[in-house]
Amino acid sequence: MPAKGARGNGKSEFISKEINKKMSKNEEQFYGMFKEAFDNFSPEVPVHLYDNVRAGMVRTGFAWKKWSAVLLLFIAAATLTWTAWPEGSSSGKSIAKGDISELPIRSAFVEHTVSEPTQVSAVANNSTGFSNGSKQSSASTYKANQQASSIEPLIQQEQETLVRMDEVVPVLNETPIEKAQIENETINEMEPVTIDSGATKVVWPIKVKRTVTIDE
Amino acid sequence: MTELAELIEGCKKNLRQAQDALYKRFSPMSYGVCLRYTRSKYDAEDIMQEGWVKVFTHIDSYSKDNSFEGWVRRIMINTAITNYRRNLKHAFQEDVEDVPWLEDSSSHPDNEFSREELMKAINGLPNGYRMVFNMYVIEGYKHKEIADMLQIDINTSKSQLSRAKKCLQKELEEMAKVNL
Repeated sequence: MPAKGARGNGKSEFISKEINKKMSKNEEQFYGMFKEAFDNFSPEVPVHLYDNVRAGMVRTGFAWKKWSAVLLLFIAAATLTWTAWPEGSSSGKSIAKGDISELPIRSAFVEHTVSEPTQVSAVANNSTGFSNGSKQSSASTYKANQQASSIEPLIQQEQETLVRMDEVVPVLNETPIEKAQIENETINEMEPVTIDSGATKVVWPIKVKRTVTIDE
Repeated sequence: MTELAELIEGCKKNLRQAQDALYKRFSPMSYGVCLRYTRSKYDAEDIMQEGWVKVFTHIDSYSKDNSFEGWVRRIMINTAITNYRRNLKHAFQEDVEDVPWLEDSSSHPDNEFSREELMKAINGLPNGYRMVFNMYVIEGYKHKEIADMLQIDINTSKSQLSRAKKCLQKELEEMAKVNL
């Protein structure tokens, strides 16, 4: 029996080998048919195709040259601008001229700024809130004190600004009257002004040293 | 210096006449490659154009030790692969499982087929099958190389080749019936 089984196994192996051989042969033949057909396949090429190739080459070359040219032009222009730019033109004067137009707007803002007497006095004196006497309430004093402390840096900042603005002033085409007013007005004129029946109104000179008294 | 070497040197110097002559000599072969890798002749023309622009612009990188024809062929195949990948993102992808599974007859039709008929059968294959079939059968690449070039798994390459073969058998059988 084992011999018969062995013979049976041998037969099946033989058959499978034959099938595989046939399959691989068929596969080789099948692939060979294609390989043979296309191995030296050289179809006729449409004439317009070479024109497209040339156009593609021109485009590629043009694109490269174009971007290179743009880059070189940019570098050249930047270099020329950097070297030929006058030194004085980048100083503060030319920039200050550009800021002149802002002055009237700031002046207008200043002229319409009105503050309450207690607050103003507290701010003007830069006190601790008790300088005007003990009649004032502690709440209003505290509020005024807070405002004073918050405005104080602004005053310093504005003073610094004023220094710069003084440099700007000569550039302005001012009338003689305005010029005289600006020269005469100082930061000391920030004290409250009493008008009629005790109502005090002060214009806070933020940008321009100017105090305006409003006549009622 | 041989005539081909002179032409290549002329192309390196960007001489128009040398480029014309080189194109005239190798364009039929390259067009044949392009036709096999695409579904239509219009796509083949696009690949051909793109490939030849690459040939002329990168001819400095060609090494004299290798076959120039092989170099041009390789450029065309790479361009076709690039085009295939590009279209892969936009075109409708036929899933491998969606393709009808044909019975393996383990035989090929006995009829003799013309080159045009074989080309038609190849062009009718799904894009992935066609790429693998061309690269394995005609170009003679191994599955490992195909997998690397197409960025797919080796088993995918093998299965796509097998299915391409079955699709082609079916197509050729249909053609044989019509011819009878």
